[in-house]
Amino acid sequence: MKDKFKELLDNKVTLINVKERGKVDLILELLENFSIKNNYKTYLFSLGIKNTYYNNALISKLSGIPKKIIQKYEYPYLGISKNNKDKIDREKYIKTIENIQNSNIYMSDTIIFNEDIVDYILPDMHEDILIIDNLYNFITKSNYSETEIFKKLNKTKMIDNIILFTNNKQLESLNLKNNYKIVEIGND
Amino acid sequence: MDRDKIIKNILSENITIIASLPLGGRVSLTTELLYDYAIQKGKKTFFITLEKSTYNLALLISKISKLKADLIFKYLEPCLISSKDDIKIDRDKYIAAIEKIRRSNLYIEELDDASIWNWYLDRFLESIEEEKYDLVIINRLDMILEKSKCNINRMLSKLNEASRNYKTKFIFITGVNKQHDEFELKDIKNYYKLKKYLKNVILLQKITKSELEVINYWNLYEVGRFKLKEVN
Repeated sequence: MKDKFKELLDNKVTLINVKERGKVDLILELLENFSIKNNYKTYLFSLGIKNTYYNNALISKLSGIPKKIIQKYEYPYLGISKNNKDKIDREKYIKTIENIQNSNIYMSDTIIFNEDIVDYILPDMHEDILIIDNLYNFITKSNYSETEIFKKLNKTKMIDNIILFTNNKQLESLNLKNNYKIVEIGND
Repeated sequence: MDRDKIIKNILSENITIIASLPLGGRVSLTTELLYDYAIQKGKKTFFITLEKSTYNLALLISKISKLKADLIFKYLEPCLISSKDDIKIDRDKYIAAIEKIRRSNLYIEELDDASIWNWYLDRFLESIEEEKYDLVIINRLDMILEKSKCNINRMLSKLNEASRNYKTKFIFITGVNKQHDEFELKDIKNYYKLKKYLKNVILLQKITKSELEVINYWNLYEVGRFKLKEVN
């Protein structure tokens, strides 16, 4: 595994602060590295962003088919999809989907935030690595405090590593009281 | 009454509210309407939903391709735990069905947040003169009323006006996605609350795997039972 990714698994809970654009690419790179290359069971829990967004980006990354073409097949009912000039490489597209089905990558999203996530969903998860995007939604939409949430994350028994994503702006507004291992990615 | 007559009945008024559907029934019926109107008849159809539309899309592709909806769903959501399966899809049928939807006049918009409804409605009303939809389905009215403080009288009067001017039919779907007992209680309340606003309020209930029974409100205590054939 690349050294920069290995470091992310040193602690039970790691916070990644993405200082520049490119969070989605980085999450995709992690999914590919952890799950496809190293066979870790990796779960992306997307809070506030639909998992289909990551799904499309992942298919594009793995198949080499441009995102804008995949989008037209994943969302055939959008205005932009109605231009029928763009046809997809059927074999490549379906094969990539089947590779993802057979991989150890799992994703879900939720736009409903409540204590259920912390109290019921997380304790039931069996993962090598759980990626949560993003910390801000996780904390602000929950009734639990930051300290309580981190305590509960650290106590999960069936998840080996938890990686949370944030950016500078969110990190500043959260004004975290405790010290966590924060990995900074990108330049100021 | 057969399926075509039920759909005709639903579309007989400018605005219809269909109340009290559990998730499976709502998805089945809205997909039937989208298939009939947008795919079969080629009408311009707009589906605004506060729920994820992946189930609708899976059912729609299934209706067009004759492939199984649950298998299609696994290809639309390959990162779900249930996605691992040895059964492979017929890729040509699957892609051809998607391309048929691309060629159709079906448009779907997922709204993440019901609280912005008032802002969204004004924007939508501005666009309707240009778009001239034949059918607009709005799912779910109960969330809109709960979270947006929407003035239902104003909204219905604006939509009635749009319907008269552009011959657009509007269908609202309402319901809750809860356990059966809770669902019935809240839905019946919703239904009685809504029927004072419109003549065409339809209550759907008792969805089973094999049938969808439709009960018109004016026949609620009389024998007004209609069946839709299974769409899954």
